[in-house]
Amino acid sequence: MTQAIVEETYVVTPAVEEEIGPSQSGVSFYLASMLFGATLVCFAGALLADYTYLGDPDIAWSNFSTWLLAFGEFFIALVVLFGIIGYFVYRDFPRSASNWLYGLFVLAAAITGLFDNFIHTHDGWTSVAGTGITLSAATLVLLLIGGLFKLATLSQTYVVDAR
Amino acid sequence: MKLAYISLAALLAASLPLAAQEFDRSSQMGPNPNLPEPNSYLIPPMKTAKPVGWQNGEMPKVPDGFKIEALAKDLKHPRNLYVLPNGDVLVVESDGPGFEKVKRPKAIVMQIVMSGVGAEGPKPANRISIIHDGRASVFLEGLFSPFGVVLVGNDLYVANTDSIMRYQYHDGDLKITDPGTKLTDLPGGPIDHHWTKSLTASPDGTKLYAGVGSNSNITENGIGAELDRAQIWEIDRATGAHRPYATGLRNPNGLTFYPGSQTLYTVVNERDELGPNLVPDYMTSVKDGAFYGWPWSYYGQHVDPRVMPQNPDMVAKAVAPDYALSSHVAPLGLAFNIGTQFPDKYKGGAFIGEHGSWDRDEFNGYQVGFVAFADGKPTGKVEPFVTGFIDDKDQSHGRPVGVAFDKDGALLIADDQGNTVWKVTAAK
Repeated sequence: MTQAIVEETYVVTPAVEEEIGPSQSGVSFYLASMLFGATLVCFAGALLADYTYLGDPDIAWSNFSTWLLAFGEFFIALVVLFGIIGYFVYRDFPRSASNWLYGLFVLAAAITGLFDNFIHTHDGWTSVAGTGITLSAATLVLLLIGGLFKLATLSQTYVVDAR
Repeated sequence: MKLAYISLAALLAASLPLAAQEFDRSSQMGPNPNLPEPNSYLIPPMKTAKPVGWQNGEMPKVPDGFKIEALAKDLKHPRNLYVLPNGDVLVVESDGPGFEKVKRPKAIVMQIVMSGVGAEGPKPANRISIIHDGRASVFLEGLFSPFGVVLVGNDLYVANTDSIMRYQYHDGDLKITDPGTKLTDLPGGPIDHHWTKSLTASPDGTKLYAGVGSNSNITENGIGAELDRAQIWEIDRATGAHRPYATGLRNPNGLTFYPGSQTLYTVVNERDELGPNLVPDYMTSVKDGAFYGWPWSYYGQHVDPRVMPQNPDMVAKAVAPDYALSSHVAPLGLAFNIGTQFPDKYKGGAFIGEHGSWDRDEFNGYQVGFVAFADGKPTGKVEPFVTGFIDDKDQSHGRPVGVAFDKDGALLIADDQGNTVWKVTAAK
């Protein structure tokens, strides 16, 4: 049955590379998706906390934000890492333009997220106002666009096996 | 979107390497320091020295005409000194209470940065030792992060980080077994960011003055944590009642009345993370009722953008301190030379224990600095007096904290990293 899916995949997205390596299991795919979800939740939460802090500069909000950014950065680093590993390991790794764009946007989000983490280490108001919340918003937008490209990729390449 | 452009431009500018030209540190010594624009770096420039201790007779350096020797060695983190009337020297061996918990990821990183610069060897003892006839022995135990000590008559006051205690002392005592009486509580835990409580008494002996440092760098633990802090307290010796004598002093230490005057002096550690050359630490005479800016502004009306909500009313009241020592030198000790042992140039001048910087890409401080006084006011630049605490391999042998003059007019220095008390005499 797995074989059938793989064949289906290569019909839609012709592979240029040699067909070597295993195909990605459903478990692996699901775990990777969870990591992306965790990343999304963290950065969305950070942006919300930043926004709240601007209206109510209580230190608790900026502390929330710093932890969410730290964990968001941790999860996005895993997303990037497993993405790179998947590219080299799985023979059914989608190599379409939309998946490259997904990777590009996630990488961009990882970079803006890292800068955002550093800015948020500052003490007080300027750790959030201006550059901080701008980077939080930019990171979330990049992630969301990346997510859309991933959905586009999946709609082209993956077939759900209902059995 | 415009905000985003500006912010990103600022971010890029901040992450560029520093301008190549050297900053003249001496431009920040004296009454009108050069104050560059505040910077917010992506990662603030930091540099700490690896502690290596004093090996094989290594010693700090003193100017020609002076001699330095160890008065006592193998102490446990000596922080502060107090000379009793009979010439015995009290050595406060102490460290912070360690209350501060991790509240955000930065604290974990800072713990790693700072973990390499602690004291070598034994754990701090939370006690006071006495040096009598060149020998150190335990004088008073069971203290809680003590720092300030002052004797008024037969009452010996010790400032723990959370209280001022009174003990009976009689001339010649070498040990105190009295459990002590609490005069007043001081702001201690649960955070206790700046924990050293400096202590002195008014010349007439009726009042005590305690330095109570802020609970944060710049209110990042919330403004509520700063109640009664960043102040010098005036405490009535008879009742223990207190009032704020001066406020807005981020971390005041070295409280000392200028000899023969009613003028209280302090050295203050100013705020970090506005750049390697901002904000200069300072020495100042303390005006009764004055507000010195922290947290809302520095050096008078220079507003700190990190504090929100701002407080224009308080900023309007803020006064500038007398004399800048340059940035991040971390002054923790202050003593005035009233003896006759040192040459005339040093008469009446201030000696300042500068613990040394971390919030800069080049070391600053790590010395005992000298500031000459003329007509009861500081004059000229800070002169390095005792140096050699750091070497050119970025290693630190020791770090000076408290300073005092002994009965014979020799300068004593508590070295909390070298676990030594140094004595500087004028070579005959």
